[in-house]
Amino acid sequence: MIVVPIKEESDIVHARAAAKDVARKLGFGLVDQTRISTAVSELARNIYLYAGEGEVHIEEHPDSHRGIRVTFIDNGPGIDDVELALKDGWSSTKAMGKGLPGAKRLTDHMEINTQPGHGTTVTIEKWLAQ
Amino acid sequence: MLENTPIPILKLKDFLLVSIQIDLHDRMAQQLQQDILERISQTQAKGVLIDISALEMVDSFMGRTLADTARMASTLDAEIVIVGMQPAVAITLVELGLPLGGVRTAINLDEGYELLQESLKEKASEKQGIEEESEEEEADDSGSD
Amino acid sequence: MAKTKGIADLESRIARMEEILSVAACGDFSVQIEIDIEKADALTAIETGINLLISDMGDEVHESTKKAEELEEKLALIGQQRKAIEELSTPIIKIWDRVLVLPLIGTLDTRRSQRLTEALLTDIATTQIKVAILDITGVATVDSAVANHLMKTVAAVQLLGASCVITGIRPEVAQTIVHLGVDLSGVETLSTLAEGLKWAFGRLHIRMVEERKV
Repeated sequence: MIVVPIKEESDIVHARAAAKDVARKLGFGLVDQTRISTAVSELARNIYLYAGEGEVHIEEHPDSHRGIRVTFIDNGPGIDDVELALKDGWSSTKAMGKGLPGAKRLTDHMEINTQPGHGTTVTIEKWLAQ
Repeated sequence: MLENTPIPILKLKDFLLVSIQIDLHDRMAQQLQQDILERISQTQAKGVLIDISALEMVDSFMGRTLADTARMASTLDAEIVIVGMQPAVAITLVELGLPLGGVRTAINLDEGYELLQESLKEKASEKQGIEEESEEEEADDSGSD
Repeated sequence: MAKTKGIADLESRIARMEEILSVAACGDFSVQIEIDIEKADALTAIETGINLLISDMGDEVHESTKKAEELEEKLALIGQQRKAIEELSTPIIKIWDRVLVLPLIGTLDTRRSQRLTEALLTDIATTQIKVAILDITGVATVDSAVANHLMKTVAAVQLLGASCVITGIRPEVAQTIVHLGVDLSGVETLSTLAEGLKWAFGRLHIRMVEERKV
């Protein structure tokens, strides 16, 4: 597992580069590598914008789906209304509001665990085509 | 420091030429936007070619920064053409839900250059048309006198 | 005494028949009733009949299992062939200098349209194509999902800097599109491939002139 701490803006670049590298090694094609690194960029930016700091964990999917799993962990303010946050065009700051819904569209699976005041954990998965 | 790395903005006759060769983080992208707009106003450039063929990904921030830059440039009477987007980047941007509405694109620098020259010509003929029209109006006015 | 022994013997033979029948009913057709030909009697005929019935049923079941297996193999083959046809049926044709045609045939699901878009865009980028024509004459149904896929493909082509037009829109497809409330206003659409080619020529500033016989 690769852990990329997110503290500064440039860490977003590190996270997406690392995710792309892992995806390539796992056998994803170029378009999927790009989907993965873009989704990672969106969600790592969310950590930087809303929580200030956190971590991105990049790993091979543990079971039979075979693919990649990336987890975004922060101790920020959490998300009040996840459903609303997943709507296109919605954003609680002046950011573009493509982050969560965009990352969801680019991946095969997304899970959000959040509690207002207690941080957010977002997990995304991209599966290799069988 | 990485973020101070200036991306060269070259002037070529009426146009500016920018080639993004490294993965930019957000502040660098914003810095580039500002630099481009300043150079447009300094040089009175009529068009800007931004080559992104080396970019392996464009996320929503970068995409929006590019689209914003194009809109801002057009208020300075300069047109922006994004050149050489990679297929994987284009597919991802569309799926992300960010088709860069309204930004002109070209497949290579040659095409981009032609596109800019064509729109310059169009603008020139439009202006001429307006001038001719007003001349005609003047002529009509004098005739009615 | 002899009579009682005879009855006991009959009872045990009937019990054996019941047992064999119930085993067969459970799907095991390998069992048979033991018959002593030396002591053939009225019951032996029934026993022989049961044996025949069980072995016939066994054959039948064996046959139908084989058929089911064959059927499954055939289905798998059809699946493979359908995949092969899908791949074969979407050639990207260079119809003119810097003009590509993608004739879409069959059904257009998410996976297939992603694959097609990827192939088309790679072709456009490597051969520096200026106009891509998506011909949907052969697309069975155009519902909102298919329209959505088409619009995504068009948007991606445009991001590369090429122009894109959808041709081969049949009247009933035009009707469905409007009934479904699909907005194709940002997309160039034409009725026939020929119209699309003319449109492409316009984009390339090519003028076709008919040669006149003198």
